[in-house]
Amino acid sequence: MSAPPSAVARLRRSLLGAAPAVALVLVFGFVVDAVASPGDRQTAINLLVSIVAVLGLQVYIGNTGVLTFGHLAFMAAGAYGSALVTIPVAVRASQVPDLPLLGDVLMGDVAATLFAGLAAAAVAAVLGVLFARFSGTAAVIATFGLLAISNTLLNGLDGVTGGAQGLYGVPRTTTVAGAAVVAAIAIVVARLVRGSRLGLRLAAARHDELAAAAAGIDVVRVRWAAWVVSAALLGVAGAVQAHTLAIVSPTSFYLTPTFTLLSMLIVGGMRTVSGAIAGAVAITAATEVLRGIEDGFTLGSLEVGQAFGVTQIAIGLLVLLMLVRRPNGLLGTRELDERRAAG
Amino acid sequence: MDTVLQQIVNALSLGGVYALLALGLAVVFSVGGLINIAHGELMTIAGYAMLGLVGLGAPWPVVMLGALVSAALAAVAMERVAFRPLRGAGPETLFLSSLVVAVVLQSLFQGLISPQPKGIALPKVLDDTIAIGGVTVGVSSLVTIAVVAVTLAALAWFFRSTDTGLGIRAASLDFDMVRAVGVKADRIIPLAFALSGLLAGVAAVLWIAQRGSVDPLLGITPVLAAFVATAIGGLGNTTGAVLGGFLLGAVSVTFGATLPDSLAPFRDVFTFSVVIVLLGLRPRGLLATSTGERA
Repeated sequence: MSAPPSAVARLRRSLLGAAPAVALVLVFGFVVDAVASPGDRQTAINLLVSIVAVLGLQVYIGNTGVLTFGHLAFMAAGAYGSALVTIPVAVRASQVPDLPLLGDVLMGDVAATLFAGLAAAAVAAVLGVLFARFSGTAAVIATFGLLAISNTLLNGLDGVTGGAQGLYGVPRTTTVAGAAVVAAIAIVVARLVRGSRLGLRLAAARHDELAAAAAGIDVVRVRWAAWVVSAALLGVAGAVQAHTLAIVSPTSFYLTPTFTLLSMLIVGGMRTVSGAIAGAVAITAATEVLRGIEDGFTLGSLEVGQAFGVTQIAIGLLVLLMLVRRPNGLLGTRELDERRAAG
Repeated sequence: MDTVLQQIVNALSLGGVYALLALGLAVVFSVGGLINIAHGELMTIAGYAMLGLVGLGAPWPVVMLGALVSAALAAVAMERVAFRPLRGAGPETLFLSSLVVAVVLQSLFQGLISPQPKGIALPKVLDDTIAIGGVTVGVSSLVTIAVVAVTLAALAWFFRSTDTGLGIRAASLDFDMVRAVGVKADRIIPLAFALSGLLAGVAAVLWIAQRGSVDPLLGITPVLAAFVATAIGGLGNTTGAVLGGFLLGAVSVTFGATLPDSLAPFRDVFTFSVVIVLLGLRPRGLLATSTGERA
């Protein structure tokens, strides 16, 4: 066995490993921004938002091996947080009369996105004290509870969140290039976590919690750190999404989107950053194709009418197939750039 | 005093339905190591079976039997399609699989039947109330309590006195040992699923009898409550699940009766917060004993 790589070597490897994906995302973003139609630009932004959010999930689920169903709560925190500091103050006063502190704070989109990430991380830092202790089935139920709580609060606290209707009038400032820059940053963050000392400790705890603890790793603390970083990424994803849809509402952060993001992670492969990106691309592409089918089409002389729910059903079956046949997802357990190195 | 008695009846009937659902979840969890979130969709299937049979003009006993049988068959089919191929996988994978099943079924109901609630004409007697010693209670609540009592008694007998029941209990303690003495896993697990389906069917009949309609998302609310109940009782602990169900019913009714209206929408926040803290402090439930650890 050779000596483990030094911190500097690991850092270099993470950054070099991230470089191709970062370049690809940036080129994609700037090219689409320059040449595509508005509809296609919207699809591209949605894809980039999904990439950021799935990378956020990958940072926690992939590194810890613990499932979370609750992280859309942090995406909601980011989206609502960013919306509340960017909606014009006059509009805001009529929508959310009870808003404390932020009543007349107005931020630009970059500042608001940073604020969203920080807000989500702050909430996660508090909740993580408890949630980082869960694993296995208890984690499933507890994080599901978190999702239900956040949904109830978003619907119920209408003086602050706009209730079931949500908030409208969020400035539409997200560009494809801007979303691509955010996705590139998310890729770097996810690779840094995976390749860092923290990532190695998380991997050790994932393989054998007791052995890792015996080797001096504070399992709860390293999981807490991953929980917070992951929440920050989801918060940022929520902000970018809010600034392209112009509205935020509770249903965007409940069961269906949770299912979609988890599907992306499973199909691509939760162990790797490249897998998370591949999953987001694959599911987005599949959804685009299936939407076409859902709207009805003509096949030769055969007219196929509208078929609702085809997208959900097909994605569900795809995920089931992956769980049975390729539980590690399309890209397996190693990053693309790790394959040559590790042989 | 009268209202207290009425609330007790309400708590018992709501808690009873939760108990049946939680018991079904616990039976499957104890044998298959899986929390089946698609348990709620078994209720929905039973509901649509009732709708269809009522539409055909079937008499009530047939309608109810149809609900139970369809839920049990659906549970067995679920096991075959979505869980047997994954046997031996971790709890996360199994849960994801059950989530997929739930989402696919919900989409199917929405696409093939209707996204809107469909009314089911129930026997008039269920809408009646009767006065017992000055207290007015709904017939449907009393029927619910009676049905839950009979079902739980029948199950207690089944688990104690039949070979199959013993087999399921033994499998929940040490599956490998049970297989070693010649009981087939492919027989025990589908049986556990069938049993959970049957319980979901009974719960569905009772749930729908109090509400009068069925919709594609019918199962979500009660199954989330049943999750909570199993977490309170300790995962896979069948007695705990039943007690957890009744406790949750009592807590819900108490919250409903005592929380000011302005806080009513936040009932779930309180319930789930309690569950999360409980999972943190006592991961094996309120009733956990110190005997053997099950991974």
